[in-house]
Amino acid sequence: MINSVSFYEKLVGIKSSLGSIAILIASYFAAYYGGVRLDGVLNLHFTRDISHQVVITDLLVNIISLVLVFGISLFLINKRLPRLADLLPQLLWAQWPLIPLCLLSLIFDFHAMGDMAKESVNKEELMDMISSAPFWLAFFILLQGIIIHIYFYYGLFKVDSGLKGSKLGWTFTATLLLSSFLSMFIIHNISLLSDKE
Amino acid sequence: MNNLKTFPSTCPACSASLHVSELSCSECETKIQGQFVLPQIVSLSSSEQEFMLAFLKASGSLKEMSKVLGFSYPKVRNMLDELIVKVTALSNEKSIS
Repeated sequence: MINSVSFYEKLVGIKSSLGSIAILIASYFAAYYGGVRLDGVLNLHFTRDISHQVVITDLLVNIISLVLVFGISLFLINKRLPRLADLLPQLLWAQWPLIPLCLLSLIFDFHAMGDMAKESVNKEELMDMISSAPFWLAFFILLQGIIIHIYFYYGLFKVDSGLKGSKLGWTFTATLLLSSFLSMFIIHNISLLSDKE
Repeated sequence: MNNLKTFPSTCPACSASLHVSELSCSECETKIQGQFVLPQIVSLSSSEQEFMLAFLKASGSLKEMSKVLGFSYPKVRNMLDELIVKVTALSNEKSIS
């Protein structure tokens, strides 16, 4: 597997910026065509109710939340503001594991699984679905994808903060959770506002 | 002259800091003996000395350094911070002794 720390140590130059823009565009298409809502930094929900506006809003809110929380956290640790020109591409690169995850719905019918869970069909049908091999295969692929996604945020945070040991562990966990809560809070409020309209 | 070895800054036996006790001229073989203090830069490792030279050549631009070394800007910034901590500690050690 790629070492996320050495990856971020060597992420330099115009290629990294262009690559991060490509990842942003690819995330947008993957989320739209895969029918996925990225309604939080660590969230991934398969849904049929998706539009261009929703996908763009989700991506923007996530990246703004990440830049804000990671920026403040790194400022408090290093006593200087991180450069946006470094932080933004780094955060966008960490999004890459989401692209194959979004496209998983083209292989596994997550939407049908979601519908069955929502409609609360009889218990036997639900148990059949849960005990099926494709369900568990999809579950483990999703789980692994999310772990790789977090691992890349970890590499980024380690390189940018210069921290080591337990201090790195708890500051990273707090930063990632805070950015996740902030993004979920903003997206939730935007949804409430659009529902009122 | 090509047989000159890398300058050691710490004792290989006990890791204590070293001092110069003899200087010699390569032309006339004159030898000077005494207790000479090593310059602070010599106390740094060879990679740290190379980093300092690269920093000087890049006119102190970390952006330029990241291009030359092939490391990201935050990584170079952290390397510089570690060097500053080490140099400060060495200065403090010297001022105490």
